[in-house]
Amino acid sequence: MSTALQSRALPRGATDVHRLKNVLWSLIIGLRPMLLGYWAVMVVALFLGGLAVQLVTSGVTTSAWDYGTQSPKYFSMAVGITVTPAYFALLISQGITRRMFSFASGIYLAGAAAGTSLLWVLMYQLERLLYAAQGWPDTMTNPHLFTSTTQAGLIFAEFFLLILSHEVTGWLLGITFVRFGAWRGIVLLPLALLPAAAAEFLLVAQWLADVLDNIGYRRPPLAIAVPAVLVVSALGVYAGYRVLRPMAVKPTKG
Amino acid sequence: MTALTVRTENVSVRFAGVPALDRLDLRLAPGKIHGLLGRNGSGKSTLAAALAGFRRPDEGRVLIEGGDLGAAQEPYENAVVTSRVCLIRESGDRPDAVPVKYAVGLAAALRPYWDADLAGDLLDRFEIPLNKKIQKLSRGKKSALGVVVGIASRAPLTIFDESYLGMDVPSRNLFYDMLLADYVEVPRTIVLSTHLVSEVSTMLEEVLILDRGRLVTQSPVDALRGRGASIVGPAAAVDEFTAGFTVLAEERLGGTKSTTVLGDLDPALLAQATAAGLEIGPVGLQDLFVHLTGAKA
Repeated sequence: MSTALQSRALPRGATDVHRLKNVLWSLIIGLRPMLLGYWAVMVVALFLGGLAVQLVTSGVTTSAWDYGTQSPKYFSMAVGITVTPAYFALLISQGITRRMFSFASGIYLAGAAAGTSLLWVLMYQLERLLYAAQGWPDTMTNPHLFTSTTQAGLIFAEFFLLILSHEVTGWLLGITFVRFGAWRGIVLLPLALLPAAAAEFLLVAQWLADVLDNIGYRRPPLAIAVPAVLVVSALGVYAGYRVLRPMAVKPTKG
Repeated sequence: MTALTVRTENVSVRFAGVPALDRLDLRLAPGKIHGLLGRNGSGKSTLAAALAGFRRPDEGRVLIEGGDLGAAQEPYENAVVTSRVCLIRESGDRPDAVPVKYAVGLAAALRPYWDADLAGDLLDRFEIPLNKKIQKLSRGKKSALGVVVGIASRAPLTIFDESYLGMDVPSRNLFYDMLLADYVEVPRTIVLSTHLVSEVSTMLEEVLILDRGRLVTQSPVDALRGRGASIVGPAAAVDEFTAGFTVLAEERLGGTKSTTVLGDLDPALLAQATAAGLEIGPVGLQDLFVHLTGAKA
């Protein structure tokens, strides 16, 4: 029997928590230009630009910020897609496990979803104050979970859940295309789209709401829908980990 | 000393059914510089990836042990091991759109044995600008960035997989000098995977030669050099002398023949060769490598 002790510890005082923080930090710094750039474009082009167009044409009649309701979901899907192609090889080659990479990615995606949702909440509040001061009608053009922009909690919940689920769909798309290649990635599209589709059917908000309403589909109670979206998103991150777990680090193409 | 020992047990890796590594058994002693030699497609990169936990073998297992790691553990999905192993590949395994300082900072944050002073010194010597984006660097500077990270990581098992091919000769020489100097200061297990045999041969202590995913030979460099010899002389005398040896190559010009053999030539045999009018010459590591991995008749 071997008398050698097997070390279960990381060397030189390194800890999993410390390494997780560093992985998260690398994701935040690396993806910061993408996220901040998007936020800036939305605030300047969508809100200020949309307001300016309304002012010089028919006058301000609706919420400028609400025009951009669909955008954060699909942009966030792109963020989710980016994570694995951009960071998998980089982090695994620095000794990070696929398990920690997946866990950190899940935390990052939730944080990015929270950040974008907070921006949406803040911009709705800013717009409401501006419109009230100017006497403009603050009418929304899309169906939502909330009926007034004073319902900050519901605004946050709607955007956070939809963005998170679309990010997770993006995460699955990125992983399946990296691991299986383009053709098999396309075949697996329906599976990757499940988190986003589930969130749309559970929350019934924004562009799909009218369509579903017309066919008689009704949203389940929020007490069921909200945790269900969170569970589906968490399962999506876990499914991505299961696909990543046996995946080799392919050399980056120059 | 934190240097690690590496073992593979019956390791096979296949790509679409074609073996890249074929039931490989080997052991790398700790605290040495090992040369992993082989032609393109011989399985060097696949072996390096398996050792570093970049890839899981289809069969068999990789075991890393010794140093402050203790008993043998597999590297795949095991941060206790992978935090002690650093594999640098020519591809870099990093996004090109980020500045150099991001890549260096990440390695500094995640590599427990990282030496920041050494990294700074190496970046200066290789003249790599910290604020420049990696995609703006020349191929040689990108390769140099890889070797800077590899050396400064000071991982107990450090593997360079053709990571310096993009560098010009002066930069490669600087790399060899810096690696040797740091290896003397902080001994560790180093694997240099390459087919630039003549350049690295003076650094190597042990050599493994792979061909078609199989281990052709593993030996200390000096022993390997002594295992081969070229025998030149009259064809009949050469044939008679080399009859009991493994013949690696033969060339004939008129009545003169040169035969390269694998095998120890003890003093008695050397005297016998001299008496027969034969000339015995050494075989360089590169020649032996070419013979051992060359196209077989």
